[in-house]
Amino acid sequence: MEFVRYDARCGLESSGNVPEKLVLKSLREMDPEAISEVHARYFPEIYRYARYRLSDPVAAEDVAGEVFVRLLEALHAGLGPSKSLRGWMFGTASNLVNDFFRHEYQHAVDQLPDELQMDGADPQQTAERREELDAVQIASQKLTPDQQHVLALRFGSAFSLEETGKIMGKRPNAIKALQFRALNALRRHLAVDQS
Amino acid sequence: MSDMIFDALQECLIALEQGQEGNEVLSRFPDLESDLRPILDAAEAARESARFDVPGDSMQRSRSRLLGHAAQLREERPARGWFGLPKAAAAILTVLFVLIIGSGGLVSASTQALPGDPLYSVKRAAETVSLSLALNERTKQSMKSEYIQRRKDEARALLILDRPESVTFEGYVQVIRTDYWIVDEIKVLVTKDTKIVGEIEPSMGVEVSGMVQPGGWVEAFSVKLRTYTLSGILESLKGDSWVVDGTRFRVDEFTFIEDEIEVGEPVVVFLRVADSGERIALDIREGDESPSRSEDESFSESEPQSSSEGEDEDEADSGHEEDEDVTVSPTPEKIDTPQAGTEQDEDDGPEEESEQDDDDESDDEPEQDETQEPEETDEPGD
Repeated sequence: MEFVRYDARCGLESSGNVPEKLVLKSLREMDPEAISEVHARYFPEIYRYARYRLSDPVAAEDVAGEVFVRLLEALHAGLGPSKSLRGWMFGTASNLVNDFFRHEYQHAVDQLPDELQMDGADPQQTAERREELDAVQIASQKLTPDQQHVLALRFGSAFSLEETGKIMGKRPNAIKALQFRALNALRRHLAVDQS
Repeated sequence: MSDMIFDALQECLIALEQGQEGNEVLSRFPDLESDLRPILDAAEAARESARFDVPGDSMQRSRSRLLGHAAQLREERPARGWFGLPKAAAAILTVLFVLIIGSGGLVSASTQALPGDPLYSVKRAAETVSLSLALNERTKQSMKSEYIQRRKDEARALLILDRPESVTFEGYVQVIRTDYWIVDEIKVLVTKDTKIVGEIEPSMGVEVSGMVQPGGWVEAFSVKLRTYTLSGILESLKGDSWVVDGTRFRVDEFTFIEDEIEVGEPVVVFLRVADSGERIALDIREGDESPSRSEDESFSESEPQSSSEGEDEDEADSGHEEDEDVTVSPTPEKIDTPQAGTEQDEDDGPEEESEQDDDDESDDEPEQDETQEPEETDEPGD
């Protein structure tokens, strides 16, 4: 299976190649090239975000794909992102994941993942890691949507504080507070679950 | 919790991201160490969860699905203008807005716009608004004529500029050749796919809808009969519904009617054909009594050769194999319209159009061509 390497800092906004306004304009016209371009740029990070929160790759692919479909539909209806494209997409991804957890999302996926690609790790470590990951996922689901979102962005996707702030539409100071509370809550739930 | 610990946490996180040792990092904040350590452990656990790359086929699948969806949306797309409104509505709102504010700059800037230009919808919207604000019908009619002229000018400009846009304009048919027509000096490519509505002959007014092609042509999607002159005897007159030579048409308050026209007299009617096929009279005058038509007059257009050898062509058939031109008709001809339920079997060529009755004086060509047999045409209520 071929993997696509992904760099959190690589987004249209920072690349400076094409002004976002022009991109959005082309998208509104359903221009296939623009659509492919935007998909190539953002799918990896949206997928990664969804995968982090959902664990299941099938659900993650579903949610990530749906984010783009919703983007086109919103643009088609004259709505859609006016400011940050990336922020809009992550916001939509977060909503879709939340819907998923509330069982409002159509494709229900019950199982936890049984495939975790680990290179060169020994089975013991893999098993331990798998437990740990599951624990984090389970504990995360007890957090508020905003807390889950910030954890996924800061740690799942490795966005910087500033980038996370842009995506969430919040000031850096607010993100500092939010990430603290999120981690604090995670810690608590992990401790409770482990006992 | 004070802001200090939030800042401290962030600092620690950055340090950890940069690869520093956990204990080393914590040693910077001795007071907060006990609080921070478990938090940093949680951060570590959270980070550990994140190692997934994107499967390539996931991405491909998603991309294919997305492009398919886009194609679907493209097909059903309404034109969206400003504020997400349909373009026409947005354009009209713009014009009204501008008129109210009084700047008019945008509207006047749009007067030069051509189809395909960003301001073209504003231009058309301004026309719509002007029409609706017209004080009386006379003004409205003259505005409409002006706009008809504008469409033609726009088409001409696009042809000169060689811009492939779709255009719709009205004009008079000057020439009908096998593969092309000339409508008000605009070359119109007529193919087997062109939809021809009405039985069209030279000197009739038509509406051409088509696409500007390189080389100065308009390739027509459709050519619709719009105006023509009908000459004949006024057979009946009931309210606003008149019949001349079997053709029924409507008369309205803008129809110019010469005084003292009576049933049974020859008349010349200038008709406009609506999309529904309904004929509306724009002008009704007394017909010429003399058999030798004085209309032979002015129109002599460029094609003098007569196809009086007896070319038989169907009306409005420009896809005929023969290379012979149908010449320009200098005279208005009597047309048997489909509405009147008449059919003309053969068209002898423009020189000759005959009536069924000898004493029908209107629109008889001089019978120069003895070789031609006068055509009998069927008419209802004969």
